[in-house]
Amino acid sequence: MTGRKVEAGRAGISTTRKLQLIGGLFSLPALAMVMFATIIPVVWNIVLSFNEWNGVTDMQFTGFSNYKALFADDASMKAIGYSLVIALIATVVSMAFGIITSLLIYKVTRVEGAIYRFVFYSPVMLPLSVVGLLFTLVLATDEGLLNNMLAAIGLGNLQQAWLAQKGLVLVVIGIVQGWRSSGTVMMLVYTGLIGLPTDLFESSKLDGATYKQEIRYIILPLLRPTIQLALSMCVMSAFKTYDIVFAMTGGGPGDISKTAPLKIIEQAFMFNKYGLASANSVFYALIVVIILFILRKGIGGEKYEY
Amino acid sequence: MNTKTAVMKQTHQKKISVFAIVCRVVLIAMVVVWIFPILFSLMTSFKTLDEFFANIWALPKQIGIDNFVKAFSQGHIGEYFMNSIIIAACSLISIEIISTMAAYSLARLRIPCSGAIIMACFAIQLLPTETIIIPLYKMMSSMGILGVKYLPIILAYVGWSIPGTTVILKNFFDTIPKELLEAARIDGSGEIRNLFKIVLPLMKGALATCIVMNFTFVWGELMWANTATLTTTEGLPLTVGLMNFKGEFGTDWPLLCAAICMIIIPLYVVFLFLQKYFVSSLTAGSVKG
Repeated sequence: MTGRKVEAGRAGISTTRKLQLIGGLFSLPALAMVMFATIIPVVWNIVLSFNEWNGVTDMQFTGFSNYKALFADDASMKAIGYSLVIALIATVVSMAFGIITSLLIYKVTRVEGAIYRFVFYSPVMLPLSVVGLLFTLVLATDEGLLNNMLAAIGLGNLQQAWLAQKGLVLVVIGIVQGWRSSGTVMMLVYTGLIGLPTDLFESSKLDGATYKQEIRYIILPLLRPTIQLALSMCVMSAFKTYDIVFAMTGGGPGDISKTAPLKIIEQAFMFNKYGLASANSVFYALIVVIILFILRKGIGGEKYEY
Repeated sequence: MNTKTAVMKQTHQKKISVFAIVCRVVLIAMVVVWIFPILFSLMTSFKTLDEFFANIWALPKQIGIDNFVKAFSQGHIGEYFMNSIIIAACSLISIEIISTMAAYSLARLRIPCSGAIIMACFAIQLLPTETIIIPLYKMMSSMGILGVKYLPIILAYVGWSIPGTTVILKNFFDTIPKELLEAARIDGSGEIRNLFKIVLPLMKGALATCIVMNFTFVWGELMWANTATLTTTEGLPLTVGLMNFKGEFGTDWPLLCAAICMIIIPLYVVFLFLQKYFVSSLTAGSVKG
């Protein structure tokens, strides 16, 4: 009797061990791939940022000199600034479009809503580079759609060289980027909206609340966590300022739309200043991670139960 | 009294209908903004360059497919398409197999500190790719992988996609009752068989969600694809090839439009049928963020 119990116990331990062993074996490929493609490069990138390296000869440890050079380099700082501007505009645009469209779609019938959702969500699945190319056609100075449209409706004096003016080019790219990812926000907020209990709205109807009041006092407070989530997803995608900028302007004309990722790649692969490029990318990543961290943890606020 | 309530009811209804009309007008206007560029580029793709410059609004005189033919013959778009399909297929198959195994072991094979590993997966996803590509390029070039067609792109995509996919699949595995697997184990079924015979048939939906999510990333990625093919013209994926289009042919807008349409239209068709999974991939990746 006791002997059997002991045996069973031992068997229990050995199954756990065995399962762990198999588990380790199963997750080995994943671990290897992630190590190879992410962890080792990230660590090496940090190491590289403290070294001077031209890619051919041996690395030389130089301490913080790359960072000093980076902060003293106007062009690099400007590039990071451009990325921040584009990310900010893209986030604002996509949050605004996304929330407004979802609130409007909530009020129409089911079939209509499905069509609108399909249309508004569809840009999200298009590659950013293709969206960028599509909008070079829309925004081209002479043969562009927008300028011709403005001329056709008699607003010719509003015509602009949308992608060739300092400052304006960043705004335009930001809007296009935000336009594309507004579908994400719309879908998330809409999913949250239809999850709200309907009796809440019934009682507010009885009190004679308008839709505007419902939005202000019921929907937005209750959807706060969803909106927060959408915001951090938006910010994350808004900082991907390589694909769309590369497709729309290639960083030009001149340097007026050269964002941080373009600058980093230029520093590394055109000028072979790997140390400086690494320092630049580490700094850029720090900015992105800190902003995301603040968004996720910082603005907690009270959450309502329903 | 009776008339009074009737009047009240009427004004109430009127109010709602005004709102409904405004709501639809705004929505339809937005739909126009959303799809007009795409329709316009479709229209332009059928025109010749002369027609386009003569009047950009005019409908094409005839539905010519010259631009599409030219995109194939001069622009190598067929080749780029094939490259992209090969890269996507290889990446997706590897990602799904590797992530399924990892997620299964995290959820059901009693790996220690699986919570911490999941947190690490989330953290990795926050890192912008810019911090990875320079050392990765150098690593691959010193290992000699960089010259191999497709391989550098696939390896990076697989490595970058695994953490996110694993998290989604792990959340899914957590919903499968433990008893099911315990029973199978008692019956002497091995873990590989458990995974493929018992769990996999249950997870078609979750897997489809992950495939769609990974596909949108792999199909559209430009930065790494562009960097990894800096020194070669072999095996360029569609996104990179499309950029060459813009450079090579200057402002041949109809040709560019034809190329854009050839990429966009299949995507729309796929999206139409798999919309459910696109949406679930969005919400699945974000649970408990």
